[in-house]
Amino acid sequence: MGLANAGGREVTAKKMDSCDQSGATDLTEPDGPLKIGSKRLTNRLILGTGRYDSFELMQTSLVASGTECVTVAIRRERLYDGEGRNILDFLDLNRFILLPNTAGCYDAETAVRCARMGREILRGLENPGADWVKLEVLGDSKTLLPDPIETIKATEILVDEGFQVLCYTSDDPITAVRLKKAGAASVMPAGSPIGSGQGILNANNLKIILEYLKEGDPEYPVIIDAGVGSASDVAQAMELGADGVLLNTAIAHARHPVQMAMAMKAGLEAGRLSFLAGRIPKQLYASASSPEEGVISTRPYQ
Amino acid sequence: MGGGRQESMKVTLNGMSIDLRSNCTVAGLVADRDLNPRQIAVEVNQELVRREEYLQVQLVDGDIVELVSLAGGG
Repeated sequence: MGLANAGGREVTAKKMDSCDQSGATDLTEPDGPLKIGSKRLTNRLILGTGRYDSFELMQTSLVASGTECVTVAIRRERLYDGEGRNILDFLDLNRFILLPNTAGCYDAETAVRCARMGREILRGLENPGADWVKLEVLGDSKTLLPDPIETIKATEILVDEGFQVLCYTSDDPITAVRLKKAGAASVMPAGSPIGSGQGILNANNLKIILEYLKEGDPEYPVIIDAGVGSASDVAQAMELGADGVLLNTAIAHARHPVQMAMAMKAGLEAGRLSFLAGRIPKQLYASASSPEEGVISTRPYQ
Repeated sequence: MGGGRQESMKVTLNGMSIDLRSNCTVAGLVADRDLNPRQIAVEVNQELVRREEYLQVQLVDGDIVELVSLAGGG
């Protein structure tokens, strides 16, 4: 009805314009980088490089996600794939910081050996990821849940050797606190078992971990690692206050990995902004958005 | 590690037993396999061998060698 004549529309457009300009100043407050030890990441998504159908698909998906840090595994030499190709030919080392992992290790001693070898390779590549490691010490091959005792032991040894240790752990707050005390540069609790796609199963435990680890140390990085199934899981992790999310299978095994990589990027941004913006408290009862005054109806019930 | 006198010897490389000429160094092992030394890491009997030491470290009969590189992983 208000759009009856062209003049009316013009006035409305001008008003909208001036509103946009006045609001813009509040929107430009920049988000700081994710700080992990001595490293700074402007993108808060860390992606794995495993399980893709091809190196090309991996490469395109990584770029689409906006990530600047990718994890890699250390394996007995099989430098070339079936077509004689090396994963390093598909990872732009000027773009990505590599984060070597100790995936597949079941005791502290083997994990430490694996970390040392990862550091040696990354030194050879002159990649800035050389002094850090994603520590994964598993306790069981069916659940791929971590062995907390061996993880703490390996963390202590690696910290002593000058590594910045990013620890994969369960969502148990007590273990998380122990890992931070052992010197971990970041504690990375799982949302749910690795590759399960179940998302975040115990948000309350993650909230406790975030509260405990950030108490008096608000910048201490807590990264949700493992279990992500879709973009909403990433958004939820970030809304809880996580500093970043590490995932692999949810993109690599999606029907369309590149599209899913874009979705994860959007989910991360939405979740982070939502966290920074501050959600409203949840209430049992409704609270009207439209003014109560001037309503033309009467209330049927009190 | 150390000096070896036989003509050939057996070492375990990545879990497989292989024959090597005696006095073969880590550098020789890597060169024989046409590998880029910048992209690999080597462990002999569970001890990391730094890249700068490849020429000096001589393998001996019975050594267990791990030769690793990067692979896709999460």
